[in-house]
Amino acid sequence: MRITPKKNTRTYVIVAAVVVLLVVGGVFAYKHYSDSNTTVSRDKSGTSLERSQEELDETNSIQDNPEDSKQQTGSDAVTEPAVDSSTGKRSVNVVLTSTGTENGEVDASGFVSNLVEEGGTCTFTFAQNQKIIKKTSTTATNPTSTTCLTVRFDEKELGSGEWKVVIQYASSNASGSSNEGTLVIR
Amino acid sequence: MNKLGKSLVLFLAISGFSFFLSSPAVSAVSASEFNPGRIIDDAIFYNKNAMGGAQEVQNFLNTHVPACDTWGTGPSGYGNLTKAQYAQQMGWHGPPYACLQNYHENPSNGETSFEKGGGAFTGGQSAAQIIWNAAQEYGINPQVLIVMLRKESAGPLTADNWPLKTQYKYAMGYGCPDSGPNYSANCDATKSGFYNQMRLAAWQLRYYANNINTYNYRPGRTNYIQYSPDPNCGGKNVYIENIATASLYIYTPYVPNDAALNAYPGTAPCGAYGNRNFFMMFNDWFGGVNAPNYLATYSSQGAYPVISQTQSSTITLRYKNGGNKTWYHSATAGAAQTEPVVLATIRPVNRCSSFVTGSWYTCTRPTGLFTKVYESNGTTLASNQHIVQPNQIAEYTFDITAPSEAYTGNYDEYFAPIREGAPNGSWYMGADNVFMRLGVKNAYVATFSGQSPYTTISQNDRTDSFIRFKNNGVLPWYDSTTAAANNVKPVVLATDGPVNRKSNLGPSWPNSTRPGTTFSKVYEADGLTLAQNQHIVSIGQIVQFDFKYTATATQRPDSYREYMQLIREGAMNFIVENSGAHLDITVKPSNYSASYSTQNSYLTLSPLGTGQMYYDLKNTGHTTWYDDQSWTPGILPVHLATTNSINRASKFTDPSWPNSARPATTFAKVYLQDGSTLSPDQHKVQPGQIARFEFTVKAPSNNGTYREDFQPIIEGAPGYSWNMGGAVWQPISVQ
Repeated sequence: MRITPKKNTRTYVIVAAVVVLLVVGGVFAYKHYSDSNTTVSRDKSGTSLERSQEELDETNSIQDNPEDSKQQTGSDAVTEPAVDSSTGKRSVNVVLTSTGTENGEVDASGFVSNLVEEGGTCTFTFAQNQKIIKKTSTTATNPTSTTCLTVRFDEKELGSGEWKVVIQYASSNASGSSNEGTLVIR
Repeated sequence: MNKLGKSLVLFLAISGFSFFLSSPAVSAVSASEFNPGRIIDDAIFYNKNAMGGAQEVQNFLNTHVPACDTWGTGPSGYGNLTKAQYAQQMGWHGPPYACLQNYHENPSNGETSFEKGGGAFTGGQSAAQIIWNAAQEYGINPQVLIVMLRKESAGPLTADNWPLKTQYKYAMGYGCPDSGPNYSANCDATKSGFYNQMRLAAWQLRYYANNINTYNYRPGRTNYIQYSPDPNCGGKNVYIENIATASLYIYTPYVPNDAALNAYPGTAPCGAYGNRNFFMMFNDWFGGVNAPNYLATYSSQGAYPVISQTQSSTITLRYKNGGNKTWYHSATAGAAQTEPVVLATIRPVNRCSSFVTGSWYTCTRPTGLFTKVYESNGTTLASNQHIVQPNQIAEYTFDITAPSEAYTGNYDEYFAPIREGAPNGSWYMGADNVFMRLGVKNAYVATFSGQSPYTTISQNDRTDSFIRFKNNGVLPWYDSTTAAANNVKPVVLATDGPVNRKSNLGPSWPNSTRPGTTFSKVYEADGLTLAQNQHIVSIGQIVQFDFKYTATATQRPDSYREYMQLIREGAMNFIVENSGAHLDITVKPSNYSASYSTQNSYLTLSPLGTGQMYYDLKNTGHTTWYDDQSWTPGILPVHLATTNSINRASKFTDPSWPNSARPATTFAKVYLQDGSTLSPDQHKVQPGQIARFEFTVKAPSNNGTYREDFQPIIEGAPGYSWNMGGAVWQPISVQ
């Protein structure tokens, strides 16, 4: 048999090239496949041009659980506040969110996190030793909560030092007190 | 290589190449990137123009809401029941099921696609249109509203291919207080329906923005935020950086804890998901929640001005602050220790504009001051007119002047705000596609005001013509005698068709392309009263150019349409607009003929003595005769010549003769046809009129009887065409 080394060399090159291409193609294919779960194609403004995996999951969830998906639940459903047997009112959760001073005025803000109703009153209590200053505000409803409109007044009414601040909410149906916050006036 | 090998390599090559050609993929954001103090930037949240219109919203819904099973014929996933059958079993309404991309609602009466066949109907607005309108009305990014819909609606509607009508009723979670018996939702029917929900949600977000300092979460300070609705889960202090983030916390008052972030899209103990989901969904759909520090976007502009050369106009451009940083202008930036945001010419940047006026800082800086600052609605003036906060709108107003030599037409002048002096290319703020189209009109405009009638002339004849134009432009006209002193180009009458065409009929003009370079007459607007200055045509006045058309003796007989127009001699943009006109001139062959009319009595002279002779010769042809006093360039005059033979040197030549063969080259008298009444023009002999040639003769020194022959000729006519007949003679006795 006559050996033709030239042809053998060519075969080795072809085989090597195929192997390299397979490896490279495999890496690309894997990368592309794995990325497809987390990326979508977009237009130049950044808007996605296809449904993401999360969107597909949402549709599948509706398909699997139609009776749940047709109910209005909201993102962060609040728990129903308990009724205080002594008052017959709901014991709502009141949150003091911030206190501060600005341009010579004191302000304090908060809200009722698990109630949406109109007509209640928020009472902000500023206490320093035996001295107590109270300010009231009306409310504004939000989709899942009720804002105690910010109280704002001359800081001279308080004077310098550290003050403890608490909000009390009261309406014909509900009442509650907030966590205690601190306000320092220099 | 065998066939299989080749195919494999080809397959891999194509596969790999296709991979590189596939749509660009952007890495998805991770929930760990959630910044609780800056969920989204104001510049994005309140950018109502983030989408191009209701159709773009519709396109988005078409892409992202799954194909609708309007009639519920698809499988429900429960046994063999279709969706419609399953709905019936559950006590829900039957089809049609109007998916979000198909949903319409009539805001006037609340009718929806659910009662109208599942799609569009007369009087119904599409969901996309409702979203877009709410965004525009309240200045909220429509993308924000779409994300909130996904976040808040049951289903959500953005993923549901057979939604029930109830899912639209409180789609944005708005208007259901807990004031019903036993803490039950007491939804307000007046706030139900997709239209109401979308508008109220947009209104609420706008209301928060406008009244943020009265609400429970406030930007620019640290706020305590619970991790979840359960207060026992605790919370954390978050420094809220902007209004949009504060508004999101008011709408959904929880910050996700680390477990909730790590569990996305799932749940975790003490988790809250509304704001996490908003962040993730917005990124998922629209690519990013953070705007650059400095970004200008087009807001609006004043009308495109149309002005004449040299005239000025005031233009207005408005740019929205689409970034996160406040803009300061030239007068306030120093105190703020930042670079001023000034208006610059662009394309290329720092292009020296030819529309610069004296009010500009330089020819690249129209202004560095905000003329006005508006809130994001573009109509309410901001409380501080010297800074432009994110989403506010800066108005730049400045003058432009059209260059005196600008060509007429439209000029797109590009301007953009830049940060003056910012290093390393950070001056760029975008909005480099904003231009003002400046229409430039000709400052020199005429209106045709009259001309001499069309005329027929003979070869070797001419006609007196004129043309009048009214100055209807915005600048006065000067002729060649006054222009230089006023540093402008003179307005002259030029040939046209094409401009500067050489005319054969203008040998008498300043040159063959300029019938007139000085004003012959200047009238007031009435066209009758002569103006005080006869070399300046003020606006509204009328100029008359007088000029002659001359047909030379060799001009080919024909009809000629002579076009002309006014131009500004030497100007780049030389055309005086609307000044085109023409005159028709017909040239007929010349016809010269003379006949004897009368002459002096025969003379008897002493040797070297002198005497006076004359001949009266009648113009019996059809062509006017001109003498040496009345000819003009291009015209051959009629002279009296010696003849027999022609141009014979006369023995009676007197020193007063032009030469020994020309006893007279001017007419001594010109009579009307009656031969006795003098013609008004004593140097033109019109057909039928009589010319008298009169001249002195000086006798030779030798006695004798001589014969002297004369005849009129056309001086300089080619060939034998000089001969016009009319030869005369007389004997002269010298003794």
